[in-house]
Amino acid sequence: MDLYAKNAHEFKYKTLQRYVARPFQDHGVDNIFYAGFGNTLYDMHAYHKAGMDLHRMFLIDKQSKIHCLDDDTSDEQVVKELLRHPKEYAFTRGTLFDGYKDERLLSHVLGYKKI
Amino acid sequence: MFVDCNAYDLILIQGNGDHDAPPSCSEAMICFQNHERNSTTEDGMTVYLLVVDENGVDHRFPVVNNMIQADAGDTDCSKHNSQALTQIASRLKPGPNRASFLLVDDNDKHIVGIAPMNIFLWSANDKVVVVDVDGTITKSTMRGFLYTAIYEDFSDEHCHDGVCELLGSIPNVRFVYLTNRPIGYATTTRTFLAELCQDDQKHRLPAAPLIGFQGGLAGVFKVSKLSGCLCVKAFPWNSLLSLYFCYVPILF
Repeated sequence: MDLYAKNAHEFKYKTLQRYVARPFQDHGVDNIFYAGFGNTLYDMHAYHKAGMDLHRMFLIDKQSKIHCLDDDTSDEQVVKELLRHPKEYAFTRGTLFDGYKDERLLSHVLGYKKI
Repeated sequence: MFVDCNAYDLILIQGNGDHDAPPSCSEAMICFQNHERNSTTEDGMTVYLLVVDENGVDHRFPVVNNMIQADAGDTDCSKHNSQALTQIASRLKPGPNRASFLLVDDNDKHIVGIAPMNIFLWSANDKVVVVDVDGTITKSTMRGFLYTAIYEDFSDEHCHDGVCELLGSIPNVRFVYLTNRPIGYATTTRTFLAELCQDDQKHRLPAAPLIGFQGGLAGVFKVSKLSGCLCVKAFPWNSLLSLYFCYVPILF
């Protein structure tokens, strides 16, 4: 890791690509990431850039409140802007959960679909 | 002289259906006394991956340029040796397997350092959930790191309520713990993730590889401050602490 790298989210994205995704890509498999949990918009940016869907990304704060980034961002241009500006992910916060113990959270993570 | 060593975990992927395809593997990340190490023989020492099979027999594989080789004389060290990965995979069970990196003196073959880690044997069909550590499992980025990595307080007092139960309830996925913590804290962090218990010891975090930052603590502060992730105001003495770690070498 370059000690003078300016962006922690770039480190996380590159780490996910290099150390997690690449062994799968050697078997011809892409899109391996199912969901991501983080506490900063930079985490969200890294996960999104690594290929995760926004509606499977969960942002937790110090009060243990969890936002899913499932606000309507189907517009392709908006999604492209997100990948350029990590702080824009604040506008994608959608469903709010009371914490990890919120009964709705697990259902939301699983998306009502069998994995 | 025995040196302090840390390493992040390895992920070994087996293909599905295609029995001729060799396994693939993530690169090794190893640190010996806070110096990133990826090569051998520069100072008369060689790094080996040690895997113990179910019969208790040791198998050693040289590691050159972060890549696992079958033989120390392998000429192509730009990638893992397929034979070595196949041999390793045949000795592992699906999921977590204990292993270690050894630093060995080439002259007298003595082991100079041991970095314990895990190799996770997965399938190419697996789906992955990524979980950040500080601030996501722990309540606070800074306090979480200090209490769990420095003070080695693994109680759930510093962690978000219910995180173990929630993650343990997601079926049929693999997890990765992704951290900004320096590699020098890999062993401590791994212990924290393994020992964290919640709800009267009913729930623990799923066993999963720990992947993270290969630099030192000064680098973490530098990267965090430059990207604005680190909130200096949260800790009244944090500015003094960050100055100390930036300018004083950290010895692990």
